Amino acid sequence: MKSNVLKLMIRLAIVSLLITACGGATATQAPAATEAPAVTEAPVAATEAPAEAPIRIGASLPLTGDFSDPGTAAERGYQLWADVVNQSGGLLGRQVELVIYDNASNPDTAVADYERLITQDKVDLVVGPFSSKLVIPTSEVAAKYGYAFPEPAGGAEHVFDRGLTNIFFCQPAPSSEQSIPFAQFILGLPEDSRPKTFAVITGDDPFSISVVDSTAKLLTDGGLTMVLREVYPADTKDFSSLAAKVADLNPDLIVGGTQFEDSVGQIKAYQQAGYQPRGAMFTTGPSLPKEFDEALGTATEGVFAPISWFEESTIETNPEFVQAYHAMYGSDPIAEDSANAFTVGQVLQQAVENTQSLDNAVLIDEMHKATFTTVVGPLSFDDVGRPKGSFMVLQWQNGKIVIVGPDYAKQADPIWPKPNW
Amino acid sequence: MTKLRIPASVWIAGLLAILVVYPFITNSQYQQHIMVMTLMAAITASSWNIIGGYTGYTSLGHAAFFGLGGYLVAWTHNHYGWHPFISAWFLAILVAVFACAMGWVALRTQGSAFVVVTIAGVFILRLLALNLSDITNGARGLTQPRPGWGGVPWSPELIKIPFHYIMLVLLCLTIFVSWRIRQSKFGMGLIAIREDEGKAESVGIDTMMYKVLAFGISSYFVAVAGGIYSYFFTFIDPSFVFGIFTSVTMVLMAILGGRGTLWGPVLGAFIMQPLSDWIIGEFGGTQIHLTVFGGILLLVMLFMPNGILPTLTEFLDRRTKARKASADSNPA
Amino acid sequence: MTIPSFHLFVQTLILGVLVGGVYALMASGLTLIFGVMRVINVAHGAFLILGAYITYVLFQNFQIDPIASILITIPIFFVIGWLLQRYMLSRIANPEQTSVLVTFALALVMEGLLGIIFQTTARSVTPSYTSAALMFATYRFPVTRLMGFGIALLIILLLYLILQYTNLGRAIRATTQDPRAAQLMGINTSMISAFTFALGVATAAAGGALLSIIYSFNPSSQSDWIARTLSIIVLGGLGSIPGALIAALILGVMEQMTAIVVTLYWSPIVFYFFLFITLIIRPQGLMGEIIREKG
Repeated sequence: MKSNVLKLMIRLAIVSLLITACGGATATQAPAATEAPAVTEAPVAATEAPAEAPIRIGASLPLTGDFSDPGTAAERGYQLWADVVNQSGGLLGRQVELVIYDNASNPDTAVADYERLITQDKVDLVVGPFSSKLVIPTSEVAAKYGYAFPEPAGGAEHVFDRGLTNIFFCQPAPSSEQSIPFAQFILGLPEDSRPKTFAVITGDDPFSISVVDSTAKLLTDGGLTMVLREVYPADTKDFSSLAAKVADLNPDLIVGGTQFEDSVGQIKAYQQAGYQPRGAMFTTGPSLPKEFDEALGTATEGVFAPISWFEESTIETNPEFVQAYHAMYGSDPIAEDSANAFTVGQVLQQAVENTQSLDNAVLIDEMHKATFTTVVGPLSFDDVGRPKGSFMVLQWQNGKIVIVGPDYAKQADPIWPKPNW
Repeated sequence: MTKLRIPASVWIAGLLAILVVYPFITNSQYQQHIMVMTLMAAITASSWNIIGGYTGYTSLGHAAFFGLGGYLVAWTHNHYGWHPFISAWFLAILVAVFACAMGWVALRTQGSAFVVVTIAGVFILRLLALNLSDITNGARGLTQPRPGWGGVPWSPELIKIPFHYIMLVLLCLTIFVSWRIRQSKFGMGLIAIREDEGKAESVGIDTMMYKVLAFGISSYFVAVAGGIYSYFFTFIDPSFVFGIFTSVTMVLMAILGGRGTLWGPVLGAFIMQPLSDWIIGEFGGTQIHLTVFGGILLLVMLFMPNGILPTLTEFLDRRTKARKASADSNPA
Repeated sequence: MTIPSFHLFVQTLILGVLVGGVYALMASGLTLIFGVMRVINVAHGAFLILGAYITYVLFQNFQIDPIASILITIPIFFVIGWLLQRYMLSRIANPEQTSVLVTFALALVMEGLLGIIFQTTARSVTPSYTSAALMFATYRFPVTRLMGFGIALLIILLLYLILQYTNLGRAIRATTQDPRAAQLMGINTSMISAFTFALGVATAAAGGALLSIIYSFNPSSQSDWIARTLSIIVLGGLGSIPGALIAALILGVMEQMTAIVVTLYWSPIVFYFFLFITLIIRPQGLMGEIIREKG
């Protein structure tokens, strides 16, 4: 019997520990969520120390793992935005404080992070993670607690078809419409140089699949033939057999649904397999100006990608963003994801300032109604959060990214066909 | 000398009482969340204990049943509207039948080979979940509607409470079954198999049937827990539920507390789960988490392979014997 | 399902054989350890990845060619393996039961530490010949895989020669066949165990280096690799190096074929399928002996 007594004593001790822990924890938590926003106060000047508690905005980002490159770029965008806001007096007169967790590109961790941010850290607002894969489950958490969910990178159909109304995809167009300029370019080529066949090779990711499938539809409607469509596990590292298969069929055009790592993996495998298409488009990867170049060198020449933003754009607020970014992070070229994250900040900021409120329900309402001035242009959303706008297409030329379409944003003419990689 | 002897049943009752009122003692949603996860961990560890502890067959594949329960519940909820709090109990029976079938094949191997087979089992299920995406939605996972009842979602403040109670009920059931098994002839048979399977066979125990039954029973509670879990998170995807790490967690908790004992797995869960959540909270992504779990498992296997409860009990018994011996030899 | 053209079929066969050789090297250490110690070193995958990371560090920081770096990493890993066996594994009371969990725990610790040090970003080692391929009769032989195959066979041959023709090798084989008899013959079986484990881990150094130039990897890759190598040694027969070679070639070819004919998604199932089937139908694999009953 003694051993039983002992067992239970230990368990009781543990449970009491848990209780005291929770008692202690609740005592020290700052009741941020219940503070009334300072509606009538004038904005505090930058040099004065603000007297109010900061507005806390939470996010869970993939800072490590499969999405780490765009994830860290997004973090830079968020941090820059918070900095810019704070330097010009804060939001509603209060400083903005970001609470960011690393979810290691893992949806379950991301879900747990948002639960924690909302129920434990009691943040005032949240902003979304990178990639549709993470946005889909985490938006449910935000919806559960009534939080607005503006996010920088979740545009696949499944993001919008679940009946949630708190999501706002802060890029100019949803995934299914992002490759329209690219398709238009391909279909607009003269008959004798237009590709006849293409292959779709995509990782199993809702975003990539969404973009490449919509591209495929546009191309087949325009008369091209799809000779192969393959989906590979998202964390695939070995593309040699896939490359052999593609090389054997030798399509004129390759449409790749990728994040960064696998875009590099695919291209290297194609090089090894001796496959030289006349054109190539990848969904993410080529949009990372520094990393893509470092990984592939001259093999980047002529590769296309859909893009929502570019550095030289003179859209209102963009030059200031670019300048502030380089002041904070140095002279490396800016990744699209940083601009997307900054856009999220802009949308959130303008919604708060328009309504002078931190109430999530009010903000959600405003985000559905208003048009926002952002670095990707004027942005407005439909009733499930799809943005109404259009994308651009970039191409790598001479080791740099240039916008080659649509005409209104064009920086240079596209190269066709693609030189050997 | 007389010592105050409080019967074990009073302690159990006291503990139960605390757990029953727990959601009302704590006003932190997050603490409630951790307690739900802890109860779930205790359920899976105790359930695993039936095959891993009593029978001595270390399965690293129980995540398969957890995941299956989760997927079945999520799917039937989305397609037929079955509420997880009810469907989980029944769907887990299907999982248990599957486990028996799988066990009938896998339990022909022994020792290290068995462990490897169970690992392969989880990998295969994960592969199937990823590939049969028409049913399982592949890597995107299955989402469920917000927890509620009769179409009305529960309010955010109270949302953890129903889960706490259903997990508590499940835990009590698991412990009860585990206890009854231990007292029964069936349980003795399992322990005999663990000690010396050849001898058990020769004494007339149908070892294959006993093992398969134990395997099936051990999968049931894990599957129910998996079903409730998928509802709790409103999201389930292959990589977590069909992951070796999920299996290892169950095993680690049971071993840490004392594999083969009744309360050991529960103790292990109550130690490891809050620790795990704390680590994730403080250190974010999974790497430190892995190192700590691996490190604890390593230390336990090397220095305290029987787990806390048996080791502590043995230590105390030895001390009592020593004290008694010295008392005897030194008359007052 | 795609029916491949003849050209694609042969090309896939070539890729499968080349990669099978590398798989064989990776599996050889594992099967050797099991043969002598009856221990399944589940941490072998983690050692492979560790080897890959060290190769990566040597290449990135000191520009040491990954193949050349094998000469550096093998002795290091040998020592690590020796120490691990002597001071940790030998302490386990009941090795056949508990070694899986212990080595599994070790694998987790290693994966975690590698993740902390190197983060989870995928890495690969890219020497100048990374994208090059030799052409022969219209078929491509990627240089990295060709070299991998060559080195792997070389090391396996070396291993085989050691086992067959040296006193040490004979002692190892004797211990594999019957530890008690070997002890009676005067063989210091605990020393042999330590040596064999060290040898097994050392092969992981070479395997890891080859891995690093052919595939990209991150800490969690270790579980993919342990799954593959386990399947190979089970199919080949636990303890048999020639068996591991044959099994590796078979599985390598089947994996590549499945990727082409069906889809890349299903190709891992080849390994699990064979693992399951072999253990159930013919537990001794192609060339191994019957596994002893649980004690």
